[in-house]
Formats: sequence, C-alpha cells, structure tokens
Amino acid sequence: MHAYAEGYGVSTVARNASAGGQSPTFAVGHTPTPEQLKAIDIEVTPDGTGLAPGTGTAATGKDVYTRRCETCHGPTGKEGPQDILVGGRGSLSTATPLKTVGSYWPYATTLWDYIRRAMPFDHPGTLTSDEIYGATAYLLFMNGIVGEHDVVDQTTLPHVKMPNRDGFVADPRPDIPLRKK
Amino acid sequence: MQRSRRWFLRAGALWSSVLVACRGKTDTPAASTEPRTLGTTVSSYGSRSRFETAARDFVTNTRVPLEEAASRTPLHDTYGIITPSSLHFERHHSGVPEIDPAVHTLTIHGLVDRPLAFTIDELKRLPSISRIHFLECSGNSLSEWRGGSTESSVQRIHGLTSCSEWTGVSLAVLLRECGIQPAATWLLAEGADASKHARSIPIAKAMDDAMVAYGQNGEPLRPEQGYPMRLFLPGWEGNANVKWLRRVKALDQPAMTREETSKYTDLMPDGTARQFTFVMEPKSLITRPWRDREGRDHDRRRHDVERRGSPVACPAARAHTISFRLAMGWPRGGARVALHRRHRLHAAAAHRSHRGARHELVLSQQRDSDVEGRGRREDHEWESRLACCSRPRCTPTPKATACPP
Repeated sequence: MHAYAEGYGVSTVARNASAGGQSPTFAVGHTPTPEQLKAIDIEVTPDGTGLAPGTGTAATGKDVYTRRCETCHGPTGKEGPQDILVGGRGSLSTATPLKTVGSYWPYATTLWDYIRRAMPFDHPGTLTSDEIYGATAYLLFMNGIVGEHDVVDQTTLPHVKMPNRDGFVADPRPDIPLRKK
Repeated sequence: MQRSRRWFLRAGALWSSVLVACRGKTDTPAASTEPRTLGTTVSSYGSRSRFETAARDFVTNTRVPLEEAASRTPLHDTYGIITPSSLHFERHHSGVPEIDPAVHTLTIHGLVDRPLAFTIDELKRLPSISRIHFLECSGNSLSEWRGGSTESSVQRIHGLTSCSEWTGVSLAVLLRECGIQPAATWLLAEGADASKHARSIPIAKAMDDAMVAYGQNGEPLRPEQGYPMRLFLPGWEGNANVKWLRRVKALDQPAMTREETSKYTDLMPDGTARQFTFVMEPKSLITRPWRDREGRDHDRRRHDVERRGSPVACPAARAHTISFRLAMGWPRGGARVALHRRHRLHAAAAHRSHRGARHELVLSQQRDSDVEGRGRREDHEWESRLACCSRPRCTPTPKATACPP
C-alpha cells in the first residue's frame, strides 16, 4: 500500500448512513468529511493551487533522483529505458522530435503533480513533499530551466516559465467541410 | 512407363464407384463423432467452448511494462457489433487495480454547492441508461498515420477499439444533484488506479451525453474496463473515459495533467501541438477477407465472405452501426453510397488493399461534432444517407441498431 491509501474514496460514514442521502432530487450521496476530501484532492493547477508545503533545490534533488528515478530514466535523464526526460530542445519541428520535460512540457506544476500522483512507477505515492520538490528542481536544472541552487517551492514553481509554454494550439477540427443538406 | 489417358479414366471411374459403395454402408463422419454420453451439468457462470480461441493480442518483448501496455481486440474474429467483454481492448497506465465496491465511492466536489460522495449502490438507484457505443484508444491505427502499415493483421493495426452496451447514470444528473456552479467550466476526472490517472473534461460534454458507467454488456464492468465504475464519454478518445473513477472535481480551468499536456497531445510537423483533441472520427475497415499474424490470407473466396457475415468496424461511434455489402470492384464498380468523406477515404484505402475480392465493409457512424457542438449531425440524417444507394448490387442491410433515449 502506498501513502495515499488512507481515505482513498473510502467512505464508511456514507455507507452506514445510507438511509438519508443528501442530494435534493433522489436523496442519495453523502457529504464527505474534510479529511476524506483532503486525502483525494491532489491535483495541482498551473497557478500553483494544490501545491503542498515544502521546498527543494537541484542540489537536494540529485540524491532523490539517483535513488528513486535513475533506474528507469537513466543517470542524466537521457538514457531511458523509460521516458527520456532531458534534452530535445529545438527538435519538435524536425523529423525526429524528442518530447521531454525540457522540450515539450508546458507547465512546471504538471511535473510536481505527476511525480506526486504516479511516481516512482512501481511505488507511487511514497515520496515526501520535499523529495518531490527536489526531484522537480533537479529535472528542471538538468534541462537548463532553473539554477542548481534555485529554491523550488509553492511560491516559485508556478512562476517557472517552461520553454514550450506557448507551443500548444486548440483542436482545429472539423477541418473537412461538412456537406450541406 | 507410359499410361494412356483412357487407363486413367477407367481407374478413376473404378475408384469412384468403390467410394460411393463404401459411403453407403457407414455412418456419416459427423454422426460418428457426436457424443453419446452425458454432457456436463448446469453451472453458475458460463464460458466459451474449448474449441474457440479468439484472443486479445499484445506484445511482450518491448520496454513497456505490461501494467501500462495495450491489448487489442480480434475484430476479425467477432460477430455483429458487440465486442465480448473478455475481448474488449485494454490500455492501462499502472495496471488493473482490484477495487472492493463495498468501500469505493465517487466524490464530486470543487465548484459545486453540495460536495457529495456516492456509493455504487446509490448510483444504481438513480435513473439508468444503457447505450451501445464504440470506445477507441487515441493511438488506434497509429501505424497507418506513420506512412503506411508495417503490421500484418487488422487486429494489430485497428484492434484498439471495441463496442459494448454501457449502463450507468448520466453525469449531468449527478452534477445537478451536487449543484454545479456556473463558474465551473472544466471537470477533473480521476481514477483510483495506482497512478491516479486524471483528465480534464469540458463541462459541455459532461452536461451533454457523458455517463458514469457501472455496467457492460449486461453485467458489471470488467476490472480491465474500470470496475466498479468509469467515466464514459461517447465518441471521445479512450484515455479520457477515466476508469476506476473515484472523483470528479469542478474547476474553472483545465488542470493540465501530464496526460493532457505531454502525452495525449498531437505534435504537428511545424512543432506546435494540438491539445484537447478529444473527438475520435469515423472509421471504416474491412474485417473479411483477413490476414492473420503470420501473414496468411483467409476468406478470399467470394462465398466465404457472403456466408460468414460481417463483424465489426470501428469508430468511437454513437449508437448505430450499419453494415452493408459492396459489390466487387467498388468504387470502380459504381456502388454509390453517400458517406462522410472520412468514411470514403477509409473505405477506399481498405478497398485498395483487398482489390479483387468481394468484401464486406462495416461502417459505424458517430455524431460529427467538436467540443462546442459545431458541425453536429443527427443520427437520422446519417441513416437516410446511408440508405441512399443507386446501384442494385449494393444492398444496405441494417445489421443492428440501438437508439439512445
């Protein structure tokens, strides 16, 4: 089991009190307690909402990366065998685009969200907030986006400008004219 | 030694008469193999005959862990439009979790007046809807986009689509019960799997035809398809149909999760990437004649196809699937059916790869609309257009239909 397991959608209060639901039309559902909500309310939006307290730098994150990330992503983030995380800048419009954190990801907050949400692959949810900040800082540093001793925390991370921040466009479809009736 | 042609004819006639005589004295082969002992007893949960071998296909020799791999539906080996739940394609991001329905809840919170958690039993007490929909992975047929297929079978190329009857409750009903606020423009849908797979969904889709599904083909969802409950977004890419759904949070912006920024975005040649490209478009493919994984062709003879009938084709469709036969030589032969242009492109490409064989082509239709509903077509319009056929050799035959309420 991982750290998030407590309270994960587990609502014994709701089950035991099924006689009187609280929705207006069908009288089902129960108000989750603040603790229950806190346990599952994990997403981080680009403005930084949802970031947990904590701090890290590339210097502190190097150790985390070596222990928890390197096996899958390689010593410098370029080797794999899993996703390549470093490099690829300027490659997106070439015949061999390399989509990495540095070349493709539009928001630094997504990195923090995803590491907390899903990493390490085989033990998600086991990193502390400081370790997540450290790993985030180290990956940004390896991509040349922050300095080695720049502090990454709730305040600074939303302001990190990713190189491909403006690289995304909306879905242009339908791009084939529809036949008139 | 030289033998005359007449000798051969005489010998052949002799053997024929011997064979005929023998056949008259013995049981037919079929009758001699029919069982004369008692069969098995009744049982609590059925399974297919041991002689049947249709199976999902997946590759094991890659660097991709099998917990986040994909398995593909044998489209050529199914009948009608429903995919057996056991053969429904899979794509997971961190394996199939085992979730106890007795303790799992769906929590709806964020920009709502009343945050609420629903148990699976409570969802089942709400008005239920059952609809037949295809579901298609955004990466289906990817090899075709990369300049032609290197794969050999329809299963390998197009197998990341399947069709089920999905039963559940309208997401709009749940959101109204929670008092969704006008400021809510996006929803974050999140699963209870190990990696908490999460996607942002525009509120318009949620209030239109999105559902929280708990049933698949008449029984609870299979674990691979999100047991005990999943989000279902008709016509939209598979990964947005979040499985093992544990919460829906109303937001005033997309959360910009990893899946909707770095993964399920479409990098274009100019280096820009299209984002939130949810709609899966119509797709047509020929399931028979078919080529197996070893490259052997099957059912190329005309009568094979006619006798066999037509299995499925593909898109993330709305509710109708119409199959019809196309005469040999189409489109050169002149069978004219009014189709969506993308259908025509798919069909023409499929035809070229099977030139010369009579084949059955199955088309599925979906509402052709974007997030804002622009360009939407109504189902009856499709129906009338598909029925429009100017040549007698082309006989549209509605294979199966199921209308949503």
